[in-house]
Amino acid sequence: MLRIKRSFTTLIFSLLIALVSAQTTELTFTFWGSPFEKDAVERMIKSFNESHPNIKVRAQHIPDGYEEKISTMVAGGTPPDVGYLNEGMALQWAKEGILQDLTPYFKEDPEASNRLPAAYYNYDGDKTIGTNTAAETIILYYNKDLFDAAGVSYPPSKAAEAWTWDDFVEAAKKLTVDRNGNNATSPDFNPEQIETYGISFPTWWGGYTPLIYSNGGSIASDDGTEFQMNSPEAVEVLQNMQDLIYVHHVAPTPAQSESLPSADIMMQSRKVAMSIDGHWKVLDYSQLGFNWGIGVLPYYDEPTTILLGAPSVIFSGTKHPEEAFEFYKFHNDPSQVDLYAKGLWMPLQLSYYTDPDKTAEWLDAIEGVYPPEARDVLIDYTLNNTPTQPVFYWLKNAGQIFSEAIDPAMTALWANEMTAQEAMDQAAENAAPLMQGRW
Amino acid sequence: MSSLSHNSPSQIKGKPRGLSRHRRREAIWGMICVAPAVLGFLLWQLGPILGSLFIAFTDWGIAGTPDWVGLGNFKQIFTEDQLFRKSLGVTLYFSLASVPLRMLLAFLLAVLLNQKIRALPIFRTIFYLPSIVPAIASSVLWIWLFNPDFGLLNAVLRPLGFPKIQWIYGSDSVIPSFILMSLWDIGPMMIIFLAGLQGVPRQLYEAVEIDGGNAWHRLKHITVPMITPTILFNLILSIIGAMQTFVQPYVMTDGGPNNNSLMYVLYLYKKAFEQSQMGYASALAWILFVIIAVMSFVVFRTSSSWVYYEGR
Repeated sequence: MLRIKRSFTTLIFSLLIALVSAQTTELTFTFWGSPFEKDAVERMIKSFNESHPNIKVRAQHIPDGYEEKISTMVAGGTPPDVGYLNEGMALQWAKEGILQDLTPYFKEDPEASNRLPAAYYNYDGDKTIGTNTAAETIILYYNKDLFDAAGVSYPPSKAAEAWTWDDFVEAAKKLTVDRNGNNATSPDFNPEQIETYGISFPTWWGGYTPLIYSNGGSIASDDGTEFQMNSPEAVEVLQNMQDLIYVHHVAPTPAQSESLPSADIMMQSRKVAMSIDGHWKVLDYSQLGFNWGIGVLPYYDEPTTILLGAPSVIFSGTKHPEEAFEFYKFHNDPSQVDLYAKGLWMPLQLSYYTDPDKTAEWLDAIEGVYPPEARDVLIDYTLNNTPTQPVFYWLKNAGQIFSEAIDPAMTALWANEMTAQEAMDQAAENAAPLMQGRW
Repeated sequence: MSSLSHNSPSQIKGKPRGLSRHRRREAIWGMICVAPAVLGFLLWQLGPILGSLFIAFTDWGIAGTPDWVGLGNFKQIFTEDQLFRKSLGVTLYFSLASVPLRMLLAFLLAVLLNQKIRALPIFRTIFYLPSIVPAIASSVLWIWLFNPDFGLLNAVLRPLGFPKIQWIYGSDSVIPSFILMSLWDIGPMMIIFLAGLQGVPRQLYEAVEIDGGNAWHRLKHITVPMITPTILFNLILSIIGAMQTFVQPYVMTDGGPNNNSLMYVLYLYKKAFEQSQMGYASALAWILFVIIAVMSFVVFRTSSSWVYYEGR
């Protein structure tokens, strides 16, 4: 009798469990990132699952080959519900109907939609698949001790006071020092034996696009049909950058950079005085324990930087779009993920840029991460000087244009095998048949 | 293997039933032993291979459904695609230089390591060692060696009066650099040559010595003719391997500078996984398959005039 009773209770109990679990919605979330990022994202997911008992998010961390893996999942008919996505593929997939159109969700949720305008991935005019996972900008890092030693004033932190290109080259020359202690303005300077470089900059598009935009140039026309990197504005910027390496000798060659440590480590060991790099490097700089600062980029016509990142999307295969959007809003909320306070990510939500309390929650949460000038360089500069979304996110066929027209020409440019004009003429010729407009 | 089956009838003469049972068991075990490879091929490779043949005739961006375009991809590849020609040219340039040099070096090393000298196993290990380094690791190592400013190669060459060579960072020097690098991991080929050399019967060398021949005569009249089957085997494998070079340009140059190291398979990879053009990439893959098949066929056809099989 007792046994029957016990098995009856077990039955009821398991039925209850089945009932409860039937009401729990399961979501799959795919993401990439270092082990450090993985820990932070998993803490966020734990917090989400605890605060949303009816939703259970399963996270899948894909550190390498994300593009291949996610493509295979989509092709196999088992896409995740929510996930990161490579920026170059996002809008193509949106057009092919693989991604959920989030326009109605953002419309109904004014708080969620209050994000940096340039962070949205729009297609067909006003439809959107959402925003970057986090915001990022390109800024200038510098070693204060090296500036003090050279007697050069620090790079400005306000866009209104930004250096012109000539100011910038002048500073870089004074900061570039050879083994005998001569700087690059001295006639005795030996470019074969440089001890400290004035500047290091990335050779990928994050390095040159802000400056091309600043000079009134662009990568492509707004309708995406015309390639414009061979315009006088763009060529001037690229030639100036090549000259930093081979004429002024204030920057390492790409071959040198490749076997040197990354710019932050070089700056710590006083091998480079300034570095153009992404905001995400704040995380690394803040842990190196030297006297560093941040400033705005030099400018031509208008002080300009770019807002970049990679999108988070909801896949249209999801059976639970409402819950997925709930998680979508949560997964890059700076109060849930400490990657913002630690200097890897910048918030997307405008409130963090306009509301001083929120700004403090982000920039002052952990002492010693953000330098005081961050309020100029990261708040004002981002709000006022990031005019558009980078071309490569919305240009059709960007992957092919990039790898078959731009990349080969740029490698020849950085290796000093072609002038900027020659390289961009070649790029324009190769790009012309590949231009297909915008998404 | 063939010598074993040649010998068996005479050994077991007079026991016909035992022979057939023995041979049947041998056959069954043979089947069992090759089964994993054959089944693996049928289950995991044949399907995707046939699938890619179908995909080659479609326009397919992974997501979405493949659209049938007939010969469209092939037409575009042969008539419009500059990079197809470029990458094929780069790959042929690399292969034509690298294959003979690798084979020559591997052969010479094998001959040296076939001598009776002290500490022979240590030398064999040393020369084989580079081949057990994973391709990615050795590529990263060579990036450092090739660095124009801090690399070991220029550090050694420049004091000897050489100009500053740009190695993998120069448009003209990138493929020669890869050829040089390809001479580094010839271990497996060397081992196969060594096995071939050890199969050469001693009495043939003794015959040369009796006739008053020297080392050169032994090499020319005995060693080389006797190991032509090994040469053929290595030649075919090297051609296939060289035509499919991928890791080195992928890791070290990404095809640059200015596409001068855009090897065929790297181009194919970029089409498939950077530009999501699966149909086009599959078409490229099948074209490479045909090219390699034709090259192997030609080598096989000519082999009857220069390969000597003992006992045939």
